[in-house]
Amino acid sequence: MKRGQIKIAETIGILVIFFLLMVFGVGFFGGVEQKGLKEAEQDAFELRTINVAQMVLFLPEMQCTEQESVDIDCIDVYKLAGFLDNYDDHKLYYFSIFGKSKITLAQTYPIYHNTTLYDNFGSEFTKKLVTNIPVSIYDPVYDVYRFGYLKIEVAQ
Amino acid sequence: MKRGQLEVLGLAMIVLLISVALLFVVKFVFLAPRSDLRQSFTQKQIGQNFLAAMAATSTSCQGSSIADLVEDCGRSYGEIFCPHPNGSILNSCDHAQLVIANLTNSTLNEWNIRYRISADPPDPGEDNLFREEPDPLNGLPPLYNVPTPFPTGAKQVKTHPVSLYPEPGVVVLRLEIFTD
Repeated sequence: MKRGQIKIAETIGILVIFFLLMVFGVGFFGGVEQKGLKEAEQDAFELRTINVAQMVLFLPEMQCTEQESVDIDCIDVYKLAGFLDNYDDHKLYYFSIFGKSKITLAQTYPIYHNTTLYDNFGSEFTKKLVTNIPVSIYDPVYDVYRFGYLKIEVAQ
Repeated sequence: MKRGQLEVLGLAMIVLLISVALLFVVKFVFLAPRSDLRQSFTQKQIGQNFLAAMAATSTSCQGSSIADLVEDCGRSYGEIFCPHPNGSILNSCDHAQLVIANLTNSTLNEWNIRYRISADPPDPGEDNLFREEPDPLNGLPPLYNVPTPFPTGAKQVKTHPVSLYPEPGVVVLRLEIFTD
């Protein structure tokens, strides 16, 4: 083999290695980007779950109040009954707040009792996240506080 | 050293540097721990809300709330006595513990949260007002679901003070959620 041929073979070898490294680098970068996108999507979903949970906790339609002072993390049973009575007339409004989710109030003490506050899960979703938040359930007529939790299921 | 040997050495160094860089990328990009926003929010909300809702809960004992029972329990003399379903009479400390165990059974235990609930007495020299050991006679379970001695790793601590007014001092209800 002449010296010129050796040089050409060397150049071709270097080019092959260069392109191999480039393909490997692009694949690697693509993998990293894809992972980042998935994480961002998951973070956005988790933030939406938190947002829905906060919205439920601070919903004035159900919050306990005493002399104009709001008792946070407490649900008034009579306001809740009013909310449930009027829910059908304002479905679109609540869908704009809660989206694809299901919200249940589970009373666990002194007796078990479940009330579905909102259910718009639909049949198609890829995954769901469940958040449970303890709350007081107040009956102002008997001045009794019961114990329970809000089960907030958000679907994607 | 010949020129060929020097080139090989240079190539080996380049390969070594690229490998080290790749290892760093794998370590800091692929194996980096994710910040779990939801878990952090949930734990904070559970801790805070559980104590507040628990303290406000009305019990079957003379219409007292858990906060009333804990207040009575923290006083130097207890005035509230409650009938137990087995016919015996419980003091306010034990009745509060019985109801709190009922609340945790349907929530924290069900959700597999590792926790410990305690009540710090007004006198710093005294121990937890709740029983640390189970009392099978009255069906009083301890208010924790972690092995003893209690874990020393990361935990979230939420507190809820109960005033003993007109006596001085407070009883501090404490919920520790172990995250490690």
